[in-house]
Amino acid sequence: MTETLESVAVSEKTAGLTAQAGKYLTFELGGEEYGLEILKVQEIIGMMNVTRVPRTPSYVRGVINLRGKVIPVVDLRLKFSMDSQEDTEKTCIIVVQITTATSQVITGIIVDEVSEVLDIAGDQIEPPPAFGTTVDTDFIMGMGKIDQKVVMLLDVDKVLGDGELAMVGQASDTNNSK
Amino acid sequence: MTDMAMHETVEQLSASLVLVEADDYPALTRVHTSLEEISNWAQSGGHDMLQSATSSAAKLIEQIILEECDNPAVALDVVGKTVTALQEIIRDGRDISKSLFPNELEISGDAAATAQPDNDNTADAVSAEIQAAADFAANDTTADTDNDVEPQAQQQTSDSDTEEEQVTHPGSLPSNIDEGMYADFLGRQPSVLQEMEELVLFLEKQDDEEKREALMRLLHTMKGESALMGLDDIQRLCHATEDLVNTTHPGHLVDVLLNVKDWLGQAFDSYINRVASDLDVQSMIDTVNQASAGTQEDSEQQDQQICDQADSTQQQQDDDIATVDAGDTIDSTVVDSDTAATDTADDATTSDVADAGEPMKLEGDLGLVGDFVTESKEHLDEADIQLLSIETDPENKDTLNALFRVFHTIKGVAGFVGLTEITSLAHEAENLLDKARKGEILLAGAAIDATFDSVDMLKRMINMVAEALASDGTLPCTAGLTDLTERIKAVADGKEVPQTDATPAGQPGRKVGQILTDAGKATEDDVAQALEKQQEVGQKIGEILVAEGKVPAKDVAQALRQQKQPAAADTAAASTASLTKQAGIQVKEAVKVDADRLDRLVDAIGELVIAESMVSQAEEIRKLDSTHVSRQMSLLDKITRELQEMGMGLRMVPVRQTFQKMARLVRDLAKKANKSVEFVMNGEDTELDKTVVDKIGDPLVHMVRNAVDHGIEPDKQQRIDAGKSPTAKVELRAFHKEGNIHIEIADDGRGLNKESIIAKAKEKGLIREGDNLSDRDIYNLIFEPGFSTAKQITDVSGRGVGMDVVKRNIEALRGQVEIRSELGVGTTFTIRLPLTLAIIDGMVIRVGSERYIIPTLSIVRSIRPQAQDIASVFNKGEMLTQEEHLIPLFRLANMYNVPNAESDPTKALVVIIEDDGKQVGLLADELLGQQQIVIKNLGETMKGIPGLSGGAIMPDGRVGLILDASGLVKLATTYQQHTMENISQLDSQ
Repeated sequence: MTETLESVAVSEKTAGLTAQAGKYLTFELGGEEYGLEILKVQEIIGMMNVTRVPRTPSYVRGVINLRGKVIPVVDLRLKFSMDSQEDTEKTCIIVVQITTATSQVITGIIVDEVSEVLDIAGDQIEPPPAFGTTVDTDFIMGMGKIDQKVVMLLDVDKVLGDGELAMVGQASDTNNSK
Repeated sequence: MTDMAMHETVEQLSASLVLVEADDYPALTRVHTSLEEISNWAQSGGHDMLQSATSSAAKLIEQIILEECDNPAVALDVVGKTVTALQEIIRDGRDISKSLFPNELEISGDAAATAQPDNDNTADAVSAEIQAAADFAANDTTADTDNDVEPQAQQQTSDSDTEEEQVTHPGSLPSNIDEGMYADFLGRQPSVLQEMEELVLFLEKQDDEEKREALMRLLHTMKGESALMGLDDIQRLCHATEDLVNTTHPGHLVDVLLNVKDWLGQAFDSYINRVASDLDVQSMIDTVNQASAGTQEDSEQQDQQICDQADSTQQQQDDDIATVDAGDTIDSTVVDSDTAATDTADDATTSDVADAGEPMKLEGDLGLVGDFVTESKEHLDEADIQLLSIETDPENKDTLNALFRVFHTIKGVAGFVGLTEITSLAHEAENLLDKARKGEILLAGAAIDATFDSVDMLKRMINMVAEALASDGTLPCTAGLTDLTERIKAVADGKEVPQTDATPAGQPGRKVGQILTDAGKATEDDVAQALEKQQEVGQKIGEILVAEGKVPAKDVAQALRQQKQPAAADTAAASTASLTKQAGIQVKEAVKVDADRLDRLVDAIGELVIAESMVSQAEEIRKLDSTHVSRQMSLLDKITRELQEMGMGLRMVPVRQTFQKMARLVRDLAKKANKSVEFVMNGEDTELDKTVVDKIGDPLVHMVRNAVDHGIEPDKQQRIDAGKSPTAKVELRAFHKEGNIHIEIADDGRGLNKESIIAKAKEKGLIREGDNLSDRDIYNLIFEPGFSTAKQITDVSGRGVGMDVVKRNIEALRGQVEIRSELGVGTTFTIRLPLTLAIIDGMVIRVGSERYIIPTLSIVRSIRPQAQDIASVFNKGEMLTQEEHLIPLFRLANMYNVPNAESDPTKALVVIIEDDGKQVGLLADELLGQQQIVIKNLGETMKGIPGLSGGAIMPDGRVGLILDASGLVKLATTYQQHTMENISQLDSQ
């Protein structure tokens, strides 16, 4: 009975949130902590040789050979308009499955460092704060508060979904040359 | 009475029996007389068995006439079978003598004799025995003569249900047949029929002893196998056809043979889908026999055929009523109206007869249904557009045909996936449009309203299906459907009152005359056409019965999958198997593999190839310097390559089948348009990925149709005036070129009229006054969507119908279409398709710190230019002088923003690539070497990057990017301006 009440309370609290309680893979990016739903993560691989693909947006680092499959790799720092940084020993590629409107796509994302897998309960998640127009919080499903830390829970489908990489052509080219 | 006269009597008898009604006394009397004649002849010849069979059959007829018979329909059927059996014996060319089949004769003879005296009991008792005799006679044409007595005895003792199972007409399931063998047999037939058509069309052109024998063998095999499967109707038809081909040269029988092929195709379809249908084998056989009799226009037979047609229309009518009146389970075949029969039929299809009014549950392969929904929506949108243009021009044949196709497609697919209501509605609409396109009614006023309503109704229904798919799969019933179908029917018949009200379902007999006038008279002047139409009608009945029989969609879907799946090896096996006589019974060594698994296998092989080359080129291995290791490595390399080739071959099938369909299409179209067209095929053995072959059919149909319909001059005189041969030529070619597959459709017709296209495009606002267009740009305008739908199109020689669809389909396959045309000389469409998963020879080049791969096929040469070879144009572009030619020079480094590349051409290399006649020079730093590479898709997110066709795994494990010559040329020209800006930037740095 108490359980039911609790879950009702939780569901009321989390109403409007897209983030759900569950396991999250957390990683570090520019000193901040981010989380990905563990179900979206296929594997984590160390940094490897990336072939640059011309005429793609600057945040697309290129393509890699993942056991015979060619998959695109996105530099999340550049995607979030942070300063780029030399790859370190800790730099990793997280291979994620993205669901787009038409299909499932496998993509790699480059992050500074993979931290841990966290079990985040529903009452630890809060809706993303509104920063007005200065910060785009579209990619954030919610904020997880764990032991004084704040983890931004990313909606990876939105980060890398529909047409984000297909932004090819002259526009990106001018970006590059700037 | 001579033997010949006797044969004739039997043939006539069988023909008239097909048509005879239980209340048609004069006809019955004639049948009776004929039977008596045969009986007398048999008695005088000492053929006891024949004598008793025929006399008891005569007796049955007598009973029907005297109205002593409880079940005249069954009785008539039995008589029919007896006569059929007689026909078998005669056709087989054997002397009807007792010595040939003693066992059966005695049994059957006795049985008939015992049944004969004082026969006032029901017809069923006699029927079982005569049936037994008939069956035996029929079996005898294929089976061994020393048959065991026992099975026959069993048949006699069994009740009339057994008889029911013996009757095979398309759709009913043969009993006692091994399921697997049966499915296997049916699965093979489409390709066998394909082969048959191929042979027939070949023989039309030239005589070839070998091909003729192949055709004979094919028919013979099919006859034997179908007999084995218990498919009596197929067997009989094959037999008659075989006889025909034996006596007459097939080259003169093309029409008949093609009709037979079509009929068989329909029949097999019904068998595959396990749906009941009323394809009338007898009339088909009659047609065949008529052809063998020297195509004499016997007026009586002509009449019969019209009656035949009326008969089938009648049956269809009954079916329609049944659809409307779905609470009743009316079995509308004339043969079996007793309950026992209906029960058996129900059992055979293992289905529950659900009322049409009740919600229907979607079953089977829901993915299939989903595909259907998407496709149908597209089709219906198209129908709307067509309808709008029809309103202004109700007699436009193209539009009517397009509209007809929409409904036909929806009907067919809905039938497959078991969507009863949609099938029947689409069917009605199709009927209406069929009449419209034959010019029997004008699609205006009430008719067009009804068509519009059907489109709307279908849209609603399909939406409901979509919703049902999304939810629990329960399909609600559709309101107003019955009314609409009634209305369409009424309109189609040009009547005000819906017919069904006037026709109680239980009294089909009354309607014959009426239908005869409706359908029979209209086509009386053309027997061939009547026959064709009859087949058409017959097929529709079959499809309605899909619905009526309530065959579980799951079974249908399974059959469909089986039909669709045969891989390359399977088809090949099937075609060879059909040439060997006993192939039918042997279970062939083919395994059907899921396409996904195949893909995974091919992928894995690709990875193996890469892994192998990584190992063999590894530094450590090279350092070993051991002959042993290097020998083993080269062996490994060889095996890997073999494996790779095999893997690629798995998915490759020749385009032959698709091409063959075009041959038929050209023939039919030319006949319809009254044009004389020669069709030439080349390179039909060219292999393409199976999915590509499947998808290329549709665009090809459009293009071939355009070539014949519009490309070729409508009047022979026009051709002669233009100094061309009166017979036009349409050529279909497939060949490899530059790593692509090319498919070309060339006609020697009147060509495209540039002026008209330009005028039209201006009118449509596609181009502006003063635009400088190349020929290619102009021709490409016909691919613009909507360019063709206006009726002025006739001025532009009609090309463009459905051309935007063609282009879209081909681009979806990563291919390109191109047109070459000369006014008055002809038009050539070229489709270029990439080989999916192709291995190409690539040249690896270095530009700055990056590597790219250029397909070796597109490289003309590479040179290190001298300073004087380079010229600058307007300070904007650079040109390279090469053997008197000026070639534009582009810097890859600038186009792709590659850092640290050599910018001085005299210190770098120029790789000259060619695409479509255009040569372009690319500046590269270095050639790294040539190697075989497996093209990998860059993935959904990365496609469409100009100048890149894919990626490849390089021996060092990294990804290399493959340059695509045509894209590069395009990119180079388009971004020239931009590139030049970059150059100036670089220069200033």
